[in-house]
Amino acid sequence: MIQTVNLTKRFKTDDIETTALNNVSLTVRKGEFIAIMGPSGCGKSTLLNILGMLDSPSDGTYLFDGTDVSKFKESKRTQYRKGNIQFVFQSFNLIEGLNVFDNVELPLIYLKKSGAERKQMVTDILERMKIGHRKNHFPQQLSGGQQQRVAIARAVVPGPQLILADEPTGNLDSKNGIEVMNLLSDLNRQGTTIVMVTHSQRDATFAHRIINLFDGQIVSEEIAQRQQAL
Amino acid sequence: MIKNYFKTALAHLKRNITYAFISILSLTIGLAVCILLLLYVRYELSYDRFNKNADHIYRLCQPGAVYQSPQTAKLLADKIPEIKDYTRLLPRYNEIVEYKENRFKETAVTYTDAGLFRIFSFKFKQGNPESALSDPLTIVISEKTARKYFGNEDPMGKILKLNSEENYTITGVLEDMPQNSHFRYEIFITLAGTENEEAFSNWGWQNFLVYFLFQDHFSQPDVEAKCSQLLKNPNEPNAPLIKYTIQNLKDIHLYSAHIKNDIQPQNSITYVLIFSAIGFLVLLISCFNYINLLTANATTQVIEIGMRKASGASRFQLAIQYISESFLVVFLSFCLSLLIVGFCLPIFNELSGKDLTILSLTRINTIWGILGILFTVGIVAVWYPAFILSSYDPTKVLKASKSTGESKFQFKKILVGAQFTIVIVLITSSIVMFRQIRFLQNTDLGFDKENVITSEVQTFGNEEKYMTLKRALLDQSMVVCVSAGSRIPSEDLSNYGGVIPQGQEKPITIPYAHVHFDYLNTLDIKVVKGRLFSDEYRTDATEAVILNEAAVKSLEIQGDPIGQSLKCNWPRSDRKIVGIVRDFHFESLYKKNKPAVFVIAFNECGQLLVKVKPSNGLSSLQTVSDICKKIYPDQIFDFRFLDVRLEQLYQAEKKTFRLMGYFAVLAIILSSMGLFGMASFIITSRTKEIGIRKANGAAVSEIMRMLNISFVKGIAIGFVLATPVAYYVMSRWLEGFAYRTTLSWWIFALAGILVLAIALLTVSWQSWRAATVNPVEALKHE
Repeated sequence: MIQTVNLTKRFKTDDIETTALNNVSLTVRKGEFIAIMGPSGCGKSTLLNILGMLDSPSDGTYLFDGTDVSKFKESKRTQYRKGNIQFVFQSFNLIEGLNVFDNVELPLIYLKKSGAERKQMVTDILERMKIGHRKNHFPQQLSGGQQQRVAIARAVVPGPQLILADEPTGNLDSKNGIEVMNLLSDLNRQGTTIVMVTHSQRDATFAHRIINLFDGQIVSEEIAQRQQAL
Repeated sequence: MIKNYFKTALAHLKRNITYAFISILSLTIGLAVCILLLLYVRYELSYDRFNKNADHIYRLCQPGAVYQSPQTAKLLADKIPEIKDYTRLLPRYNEIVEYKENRFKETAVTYTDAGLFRIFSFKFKQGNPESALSDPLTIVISEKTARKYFGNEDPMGKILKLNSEENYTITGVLEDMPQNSHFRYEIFITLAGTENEEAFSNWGWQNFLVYFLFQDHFSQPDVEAKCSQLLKNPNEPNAPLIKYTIQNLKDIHLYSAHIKNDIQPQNSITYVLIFSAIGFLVLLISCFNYINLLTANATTQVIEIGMRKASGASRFQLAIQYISESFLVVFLSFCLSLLIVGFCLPIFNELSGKDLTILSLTRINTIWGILGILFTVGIVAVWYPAFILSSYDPTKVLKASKSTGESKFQFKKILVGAQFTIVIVLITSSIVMFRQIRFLQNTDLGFDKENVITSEVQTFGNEEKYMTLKRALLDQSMVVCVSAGSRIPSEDLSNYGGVIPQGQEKPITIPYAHVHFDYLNTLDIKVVKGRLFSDEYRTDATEAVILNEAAVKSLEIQGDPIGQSLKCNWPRSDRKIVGIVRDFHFESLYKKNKPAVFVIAFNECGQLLVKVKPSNGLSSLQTVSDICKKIYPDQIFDFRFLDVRLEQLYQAEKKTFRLMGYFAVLAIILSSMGLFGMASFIITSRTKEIGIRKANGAAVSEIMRMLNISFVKGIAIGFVLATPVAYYVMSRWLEGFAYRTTLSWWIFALAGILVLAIALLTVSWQSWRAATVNPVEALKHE
């Protein structure tokens, strides 16, 4: 599903150039659950953003389902990504002015789904995530765990092929964290490919494969001791 | 402590330099406009108030007019004990005055009674105001006139010759009259000694303005009733009573819109109100800008407020902090606005036709006005930060760092909506005024106003001399037609006389136009029936009359009018109707077309009309002028093209429109500045949301649409509110014109679209920047 060859990302600020990713070559197969680990600043999030087509690489190729998207302009990336790739962030990134229902509905609006369809899909997903009773609440009225579940609901609702999770449990206590990891695992079992950036060894055990990144380069790859859902 | 407050305030301003710049600039412009208009309004309200007796001076009026017969004033003053003194003014616009080789045509001349200088407080440089005009053949002149005729010589006792006839002795020199007097003259000639002249006992000669000085206490309705009774025509006891009124001096300048043909063009309270409203609205816009930017600024400071409160600042101390910041901004803006006022005053004077000076800022009531403005601004600028911001609960503030945002946006949108309401009203009004002025200029007047040179002539002498001139002019290849008349279009058709149509008995009063041959063809006026006057029929001069269509109607002439007889009294003669002409707009378009009878009466003619071929206007003017001067060497001509004269009828409207236009543009600029500031704030605070939306599949165009729509809503509300207001104001304004443009729906739509376009341009640049920002960056935004 994903194949990158010598993916490189350089950032320029005034006169300093930093290399965030250095010749990263990586393959992710359909249905896989991958964890990317490494110390702060090693380029994990940058890699995730490029895989999610939020950003484009400075060099190298990125094949998504066999299409080279590395040279795509933003509008084309948006078009390509829409509905296929969804995100889950550490800080949840819910829109404060919108209630739970409206937040989850967001990707469907941009997919131009009809109102009735949207309503059905959002209601279903909220039930599945067990937050249906909270649909009229605003994000700041929810606990962190609930907020992350809303964020996952939003990621899942359009039925994406790939979910990219950036430290999804980073802001949660361990109980809520495990709950979120179980949710992701379930999704993976139902066929969604997941690429997750994490610091947490525990979270990484949910993945099939762990990729260790250091200074923008892949230093090792291991098959995870898969933890069963608790 | 105080120093610390100001230091923090200054630091805040520096940190948010864009906001500080926009707030100060918009407050500066708002204050400058407001102060300018304050000066203007104050000036308009100050008319005639320099007269010590202003409270007791009244002008005599009849319905819609102010001109009286020569004996009226004395008759009333003798019979009504409340009247302490009186004076008459007989204005003249065309007098030749000479002293030795200095010979000028004077247009600001009035005959008057000695009472003038007792009643009004005009300052004398030389001479005694009490007695200056008591003796026959005395004259008082202004300083300026004195310099013109006598240079540095002492003018007192010198002799001025009027119209090559009478000699007048100078008995006083006036300081130049104040600009804010409702009449202004350079030369005052005594009416003493005219009592026994025949003309002065003619009741029909209604050309005098009458001013009375009343005693301190009197009843205005009683006096008015007495005037009406005393002025009843004794020969027609059954005629309806004409209702005379008296108008206080202080009301003359602004409340005389109903009076036709006033002594000098006056302003109207309507325009004073319009400009007061504009000043107030512009100030409101800039205050709204200030509040918007301040709150925008403050919301980003919510955390700081929380921090300060948490570290022990009392609400009072916080309030002081924000008040000092507002004070700093208002003070800076005020100083800058004074500079701008000083700089713009000459331009404003040029536009408004006034002569305001920066010195009038120091007048006590102006200072009060400015203090009032500053107080209003101060309240607005201080109220919000002091009482709203400082009241934030620190725990809530610190916890939900940004959740206060949404309701704040609502408040801002209301202010922006209000601003755009004002802007749309101003733009709509400007468009309507522009259309009305264009309508006035482009309406088919019913005659050809192009290429007609006109001039007043003091006297044509005998008809033979005029015919010599006419032949000499017609010898020129570029002259098409030459004629003379008592009045020319653009003037008032106010020579009323009586006519008795065939088969009727009672005379009907109707305007007369006294003309000479070729008058109607010079103006290319269309004949509907019959023919024009022609010198092939010499009897036309004494036996023919031409009516316009309105006259046929108002005289109720039955059957074919051609050939019917008409008894005229000016000059007294029996005439036959030889032609009917189409109605044309003789007077300005403020007035409905009047019926008119045209008769040949050379002795009444005082205007020359020369139609030339369309070519080089200036050279034909020169040629005509040369020929006229050769034949009438004693006359002073004042050649002007007819279309120029017509254009001058609408100077007041043009000036108002131009001022209005400038203020509308200013209002747009101010509002756009405010919108820009607010958009930049709102969009910045939505950066993260934009990132989230993009991560969830929103395209740039969708983000832009979302951002812009939220601003469009405010404008839509503004439009809905503004349209009825603008419609009402403008239909009232248009009521002042007998002929007017229509208030089409598209004018309002155009104003709305214009404002929408400007607002979208202002906002789009920023929403574009926000929408195209890398979502990765946007998501990092806190």
